[in-house]
Amino acid sequence: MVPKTTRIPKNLLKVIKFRVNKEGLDESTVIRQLLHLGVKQYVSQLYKEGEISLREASELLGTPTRETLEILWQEGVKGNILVSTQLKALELTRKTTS
Amino acid sequence: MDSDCLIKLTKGKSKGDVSMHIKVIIPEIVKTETVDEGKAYGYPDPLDIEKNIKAGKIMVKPKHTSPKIRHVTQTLRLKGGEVDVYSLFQKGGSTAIASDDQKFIKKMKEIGIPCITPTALIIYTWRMGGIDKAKALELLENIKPMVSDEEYILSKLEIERAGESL
Repeated sequence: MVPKTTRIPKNLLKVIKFRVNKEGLDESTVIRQLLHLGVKQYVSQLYKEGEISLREASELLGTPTRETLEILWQEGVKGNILVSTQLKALELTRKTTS
Repeated sequence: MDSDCLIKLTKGKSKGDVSMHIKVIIPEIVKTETVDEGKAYGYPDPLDIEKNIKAGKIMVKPKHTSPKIRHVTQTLRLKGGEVDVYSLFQKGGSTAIASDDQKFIKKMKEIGIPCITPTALIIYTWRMGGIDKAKALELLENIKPMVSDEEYILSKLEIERAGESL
């Protein structure tokens, strides 16, 4: 792990303290846990918007492809196919079966 | 076929019907991503995929590359399985790349490679007469929690409109 110093707003510190007391964990662990939750959400959003691919999401999360899919589903991101892409795919099924 | 497409079809219990009408070819890295990594995390779907590979319903092909392919994959910044899925397509003999990843499909479309999604593969199987309308709708419901709303709705409409263009 790499040490980093940052300034934390009071309202965020309140949440950190809350979790420290609730879970009986130390402050550093709680900060890491919350940061990790934020990272998952951020990466999932990027994937949902088609800004990153599944493999790029895997790289950012440091998880294998299969596990990354589970994380995306847990974060409520079912998939990221757009209308135009799906219309093209359906058109292909028509062409190849006619 | 790319990993996400294979996993979603397997989890959605569609792969059996789809693979009866489509020749599914995957590169070795997709097998690693879907079977080996899936098993390491204790998911059940890798067992199904492995069974299908052993039965010959899914063909695993070795990596194929050339200087031209390497140039394209580097320029497009393809990663992991994307590289080998693209390379295998370039080897020839395939109609389309099956994936459910918008960014990967967008890149493939830009270089003129036809792509198909997992739900479109269900539609194809239905069009080919491999499954009836009720079964196609059932398979779509199974895969619904794993695909975008756009993908699901357009596919459902396609079936309900009996295959007429939307």
